[in-house]
Amino acid sequence: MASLSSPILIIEDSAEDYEILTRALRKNDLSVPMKHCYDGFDAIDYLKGKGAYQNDPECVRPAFILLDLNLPGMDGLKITNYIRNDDSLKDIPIIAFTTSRNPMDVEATYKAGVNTYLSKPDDMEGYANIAHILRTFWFEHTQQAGNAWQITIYNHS
Amino acid sequence: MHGISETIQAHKYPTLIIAIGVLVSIAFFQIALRYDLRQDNQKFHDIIQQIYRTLDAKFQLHTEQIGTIAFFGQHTIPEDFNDLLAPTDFIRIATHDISDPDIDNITQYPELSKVLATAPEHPFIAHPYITPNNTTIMPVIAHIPNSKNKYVIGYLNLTKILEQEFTPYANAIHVKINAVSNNKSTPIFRQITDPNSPAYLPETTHTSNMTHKRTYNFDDHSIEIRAYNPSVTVGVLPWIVLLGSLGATALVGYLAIRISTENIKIRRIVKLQTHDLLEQTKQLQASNQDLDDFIHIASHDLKEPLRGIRNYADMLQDDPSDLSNTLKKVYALSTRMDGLINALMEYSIIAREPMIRAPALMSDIAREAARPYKDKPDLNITIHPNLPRVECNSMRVRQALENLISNAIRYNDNKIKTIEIGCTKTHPKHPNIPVFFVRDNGIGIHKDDIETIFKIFRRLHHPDKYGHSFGAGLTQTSRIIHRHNGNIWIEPNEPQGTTVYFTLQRS
Repeated sequence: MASLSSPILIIEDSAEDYEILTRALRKNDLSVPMKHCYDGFDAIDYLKGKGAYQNDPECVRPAFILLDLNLPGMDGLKITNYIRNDDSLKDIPIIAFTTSRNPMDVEATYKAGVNTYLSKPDDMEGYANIAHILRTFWFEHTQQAGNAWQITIYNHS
Repeated sequence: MHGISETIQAHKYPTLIIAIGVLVSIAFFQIALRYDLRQDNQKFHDIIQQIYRTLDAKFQLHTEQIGTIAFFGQHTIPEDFNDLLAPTDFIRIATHDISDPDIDNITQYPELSKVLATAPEHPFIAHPYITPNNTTIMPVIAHIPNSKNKYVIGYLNLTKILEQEFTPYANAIHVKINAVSNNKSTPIFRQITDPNSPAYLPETTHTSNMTHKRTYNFDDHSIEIRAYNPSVTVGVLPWIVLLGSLGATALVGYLAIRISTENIKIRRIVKLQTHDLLEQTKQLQASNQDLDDFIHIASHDLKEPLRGIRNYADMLQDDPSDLSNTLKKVYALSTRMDGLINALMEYSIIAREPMIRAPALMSDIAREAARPYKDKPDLNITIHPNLPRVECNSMRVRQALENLISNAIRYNDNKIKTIEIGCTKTHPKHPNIPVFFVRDNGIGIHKDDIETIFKIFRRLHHPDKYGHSFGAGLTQTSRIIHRHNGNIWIEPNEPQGTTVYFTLQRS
């Protein structure tokens, strides 16, 4: 279950996109812990505490996952399938976060088992909206653990 | 055109028509034959009836003649049969004394009148007798009342009688004449026995029903005449009918076969065309799907840096403090976008340009493609000598090889990277099509990822890992190969590395 410092796991291969996202979120006063993985293999290593994350005390189960679908190698759908078929991970909420507005992509991601679907915004206004959604979502999923009032909000970066 | 498994039933319908036609022809022939034979038999019948009328009259006449004449005396067959061969068919004899000079004048004998008065009304004609010179004679015998004696009063020259009647019709009628007595039949007449006679006909062995039988019954025997129709010949009519109906059958059958063949041809053509159309539709659908995917991926990937640029510009508006850093990123993103657009344009050119081909040695093309890596110490590129000559656009094929070599170097963790360019003669299906390959000792590829790497802008690794690329090289290469009607496929090596195979002609 999500603990005090449950981060948002952001799986995003584009360094620029990640930077813009974190800057926008910070600008909108969303200062929740965030963990960045740049591809699916890295993300799964993190989730399972393997590879580079073995014995890493900061390797904490995320509150939810913000998942870019267009990733090199293991794409977003494959990662979703992996998580949904893993008994220890399948409860983690997944938000698909992508440029694609193709209805077929949207349908495929829902079928694979993502909880919701967000389009990557084209401007800062859009990011303000995303920040609001993520904040709500994050509080919801950490409150479920009964620790809503004790959350220490700190700046991950 | 494979895959057409349905067999087309050929000529079932025409075969039926022809079979029915032949049966109908045979039936017509039978009818015509019967008609024709009836005509023949009618003629035969007419003649035989005429002969019988004459014969009836003759026998009647003779019995009547006999009835008026009587002779005395015990019968003895005369020694000299030549005497019997008188020009008439009835020979009267005086039985008691054949040498009597007055024998002819029977009325001179008063006793005869007495006998006649008491003699039976009809003398009987005895069993025929065949003389040594093959003349059949029939004794005419009279009974004298109150006496046990029988008296031969003359002979009927049967041979003569029958010859007179039948010989004129020797061509129309054949006869077998038997004397039947006590169920025993003896042939007594054979029509014209001289083979040299122009009217001679060999004795027939007719068993057909074209016979006519007539029996003349006498007191203790009978004469049985069987007449055959020797001219039971089939006339032209049945043959005309048969040929005509067979001809009609053949014509109808031919037309039916033609129609049926046309039908089959048309059906086959329609089937082939349908198959082709389906095939084309499938290909079109596939290429539409490809195009769809391509546009989707390309627009998606083009949009990514654009969105970045906009967002950085936005941020700059909010907070101009980080100007130089942000501008650097905007510049990098626009460069990336330029690269993506260039890759797309190149792909589009390769897809559309006329693929002009000329014979070229693959060894030369490969050497050209590997030239930039010539003196790299960590690189070991082997090009097989005597690679076959191929009809190709050597500029594009070199580009394809450059991409493959570049990939082989990029996705390789070894200290010494080895690349082998060669040709195998083991095309899975077409042994005479050369299969080229580029083999490396690199990181290899998982089977599940093979499909992905042919898609434009798709990479399996983060740029941090194996260096920056657009993910367009293999897509470009595969398009070049396909423009040559060739195939490209990838197999992982054991224990490590990848082999890319390709052909440059239709298989």
